[in-house]
Amino acid sequence: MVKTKSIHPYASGKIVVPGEKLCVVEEFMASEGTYEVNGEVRALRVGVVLYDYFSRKVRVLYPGKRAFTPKQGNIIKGKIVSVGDDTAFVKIMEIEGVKPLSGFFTGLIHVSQISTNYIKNVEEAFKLGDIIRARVLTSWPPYQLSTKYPGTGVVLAFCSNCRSPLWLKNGLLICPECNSREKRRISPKYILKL
Amino acid sequence: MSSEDKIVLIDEKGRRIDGRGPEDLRPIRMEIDVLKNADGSAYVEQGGTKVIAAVYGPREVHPRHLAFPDRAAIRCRYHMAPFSTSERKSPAPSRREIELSKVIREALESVVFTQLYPRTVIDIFIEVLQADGGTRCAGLTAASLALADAGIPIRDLIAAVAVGKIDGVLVLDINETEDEHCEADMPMAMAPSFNEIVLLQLNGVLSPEETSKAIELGKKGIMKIYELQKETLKKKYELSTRRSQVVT
Repeated sequence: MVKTKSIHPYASGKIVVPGEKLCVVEEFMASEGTYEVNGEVRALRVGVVLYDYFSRKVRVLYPGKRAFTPKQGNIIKGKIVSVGDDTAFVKIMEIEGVKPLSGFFTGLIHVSQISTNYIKNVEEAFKLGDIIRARVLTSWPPYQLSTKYPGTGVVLAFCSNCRSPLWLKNGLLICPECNSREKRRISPKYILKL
Repeated sequence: MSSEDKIVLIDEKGRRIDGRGPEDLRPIRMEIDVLKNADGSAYVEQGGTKVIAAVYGPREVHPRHLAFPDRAAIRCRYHMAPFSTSERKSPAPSRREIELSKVIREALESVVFTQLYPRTVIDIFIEVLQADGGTRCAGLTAASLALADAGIPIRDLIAAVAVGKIDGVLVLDINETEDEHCEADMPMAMAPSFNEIVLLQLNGVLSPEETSKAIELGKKGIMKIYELQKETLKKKYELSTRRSQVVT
């Protein structure tokens, strides 16, 4: 067995490949990175094994590549690609806390999920090209998103007249080029602040 | 076939055309993470056969109607490069390539935990760079390594090898010349941890006894390939953890 420096203080240092038997269910229960078949626990990805003697669970940890898709409760970053009467479509580019996605997923936001305040139509809150931070409500495509949660909303908006990035000043978005003022569902994490 | 123009595939010492014994594999080289843009990739070289596999996904399905509501779809493309054969091969997918894509996909579907990623697709591309017999087997070996490299949950790796019958002798891992003149050619793939056959095809004629002997011979070869696959993955893991320790 190949030994390496462990990535977790309690990791055994044993590297396993998918399909390798780790233990029987009576010893440790299957958990992250493992699965159970015929009373045995096996690895489902490459990684280092961690036998957790406290919770009696076995895990396979890997710091590198993993197959990620957005899951309920995740915070995502994306771009508004189309705005309808009651929904906006979002191109999900990144799941926060995870390396950027190699591809993209499509999400949608319904007017009722934009803000805790009343919003008549999506145009009031998002416009084409805006970069938003949103929370995921469903675990499969098409992902339902929400910007009702703290910290979510538009993080970068562009002027609808001249497309230059808008600056946030006293709760208002101002265009430095054409001086127009715009309304959005602004996130407290808006990046251009004056 | 007259005896004069027949190629001697096995000489009186039992040596094959490339000097191997009947139960020897060709030299194998495996590498993973060879492509930057793919989520997972692998390169497998088995004698003169050179295959590269790339995995993308799980990602959004286009066109939408191909998605399954309860699991991920797997799309597989086995393709031979125009320069992979001695005579230029048209790059358009041939009847043979379409069939191989299907059987390879079905073999891989049996090990991937597709139900973890509903309404998405996992794309697998297998490109044969140089064909010298056993390309579907090398392709499958590479594809399973690429899946493991991408971090896609799989039940087991898949290792594959072709068994042939030449001059009445069962031989392991046949090459192009042997394939052309053999009496039977049987590609097989297994999930080695479960001793489960996931692909089995047969070209030519084998008696029931020969078939079971051929399967046993194939298993031996598959186990050797499986060991190499494990070694490749573990080596890569060691390197990647060492790198992450340097960075953090």
